[in-house]
Amino acid sequence: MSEFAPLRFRFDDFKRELKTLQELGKGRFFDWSAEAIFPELDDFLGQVQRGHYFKGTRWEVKESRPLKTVATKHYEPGGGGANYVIGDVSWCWTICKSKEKPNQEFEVSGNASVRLRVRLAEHPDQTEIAMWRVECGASDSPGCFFHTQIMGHEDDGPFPHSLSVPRLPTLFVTPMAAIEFFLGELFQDTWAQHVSSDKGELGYWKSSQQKRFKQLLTWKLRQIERCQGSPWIALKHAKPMATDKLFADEGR
Amino acid sequence: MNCPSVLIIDDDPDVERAKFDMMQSHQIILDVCHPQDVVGRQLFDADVVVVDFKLDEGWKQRDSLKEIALQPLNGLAVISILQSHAMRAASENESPTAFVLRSAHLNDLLPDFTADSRLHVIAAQCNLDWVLTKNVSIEEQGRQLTKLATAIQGLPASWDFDDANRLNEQVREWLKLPDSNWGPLAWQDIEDCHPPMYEIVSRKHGLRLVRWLTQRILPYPCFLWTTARIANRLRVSLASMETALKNGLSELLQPVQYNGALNEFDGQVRWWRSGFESVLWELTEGRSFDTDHTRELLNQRCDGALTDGGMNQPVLCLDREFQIQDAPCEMEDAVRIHPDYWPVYADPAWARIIDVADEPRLASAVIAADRERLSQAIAEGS
Repeated sequence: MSEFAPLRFRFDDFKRELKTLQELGKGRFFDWSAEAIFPELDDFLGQVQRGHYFKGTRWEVKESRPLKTVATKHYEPGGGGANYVIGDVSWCWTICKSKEKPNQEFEVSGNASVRLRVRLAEHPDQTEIAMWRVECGASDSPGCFFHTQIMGHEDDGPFPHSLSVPRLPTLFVTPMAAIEFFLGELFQDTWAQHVSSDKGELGYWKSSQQKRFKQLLTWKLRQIERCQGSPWIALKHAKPMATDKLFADEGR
Repeated sequence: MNCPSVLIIDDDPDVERAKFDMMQSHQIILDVCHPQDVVGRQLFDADVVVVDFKLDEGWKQRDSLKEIALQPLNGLAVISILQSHAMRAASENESPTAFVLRSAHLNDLLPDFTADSRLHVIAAQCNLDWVLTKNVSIEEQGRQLTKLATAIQGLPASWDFDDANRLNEQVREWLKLPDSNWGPLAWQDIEDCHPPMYEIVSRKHGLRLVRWLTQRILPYPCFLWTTARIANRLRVSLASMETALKNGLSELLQPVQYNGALNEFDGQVRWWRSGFESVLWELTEGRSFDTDHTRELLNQRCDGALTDGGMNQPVLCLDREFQIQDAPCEMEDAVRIHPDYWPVYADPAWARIIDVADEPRLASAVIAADRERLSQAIAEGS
């Protein structure tokens, strides 16, 4: 019987995806402040890769200093949104070097949560009007493992902290994938057109995201195919097992 | 605009005059003279001064001198002298003059380079505006000189250096960037490639823009794409793309063809990348990421000439001579390299793993992030 296996990723894949995303988004999509955040994220991964991080350490973008988009009305096609909004993204992934390939791979060893917020750009305090989280569960979480939760960060109001459901299934695993989803929502036409080209490292971006989507969807498909009861409950309870080899090993 | 003019300096002027006589038919004013006969006025009247590299014969006055500082041994040395004269004597409003070295022996200039394939690198290294190889036909040399002289003639007579918007406008006009819905995107692409606009003050400084275009833009995949690159974008072969253009596709793409300064300078048609993507976006009504669908719609306009190249994620690679190849290979069969002088703003350079494995110079250019993958691929292949 296979056991739960923490998600594993290659340092090089993450570093290159970060660099690619930075290049893709700079100027037109990310606020200028992102130019300082991306190199820090890359540096941190490099430190973990070179250091002795066999216990969990937090790879994060703090909520107090998030990755921001430029102000946009393009959440409606053609830029027809009612208000200018800004997207901000923060995350905390607890990671450590993998035991098997410590110089090449890291494991998600704890909390893995990406927070996405939409704010009104023209309000003096940039009022938050939407917030959701893209998360990977823990070994003992009720599922589904790869999920999105709405709000849940405050004690009152809709979706308060005390309400831990719903955990909506998601296709987005990494912070970079969650960011692309976010950009695709906030810049409906412009992002789609931008990433339809072959510019720069877009080829790499396509192939890396394609590979990870395929791995995830194949994994989900396997859960459904081998279930004996409700397919949804099978999906909900499914967790990555050692035999699944998500995501570092598969295809290598 | 005056007629563009070219001054050719050679130690055998009569022979060169006869060779380049055909340039007169391109409405170019041609002057040919021996290096010792050059006078200051000729430098300022010419848009392009071409000097032969080897000046071994027929220069008795030079050879009879004892002072070595008065003996320019080759055309490169002559150009340095002429450049200093041009710089000293030039007034603010003097039109710029480009200096071009011409030779059949470019390997002698930078022996470590595969010279003929990297003319732009030699030009940059030797403080030249361009390098002309004699290893192409005289007609081709004449065509390039005509393009260069015309581009220089097309530079503004004065630059609005204290008005950033107007300066942008002047550069856009020189590049003939169309006033279109994709124009702002193309301009952003241009700015990403750091045109030396903010160093331009006097009229002569326009030459920096010429150098930027010939040495830093046209040789690399930046905001202008060759036909091979748009074929790659559509996942079709270059041959099928060329057939499609002849069969009607050029009509659709004509608005995004590059017609600005130095267009087809190296013989290649180029296209505005942002313009091309914009055409696809509008044609597919926002589904240009779907290559099959895009190709299908394009094929309706070219009698089905575009055929699937059969690759998932093709990339154009540099060969062992660091020349960009027209035939693509799958991304997974290639690694990224960073050759010397490859601009950071250009799209990445790729090389086939099979070539890298055999060619140490290519191997040394593989970027750090791809070296492990390269080692694995070589180990699996051996």
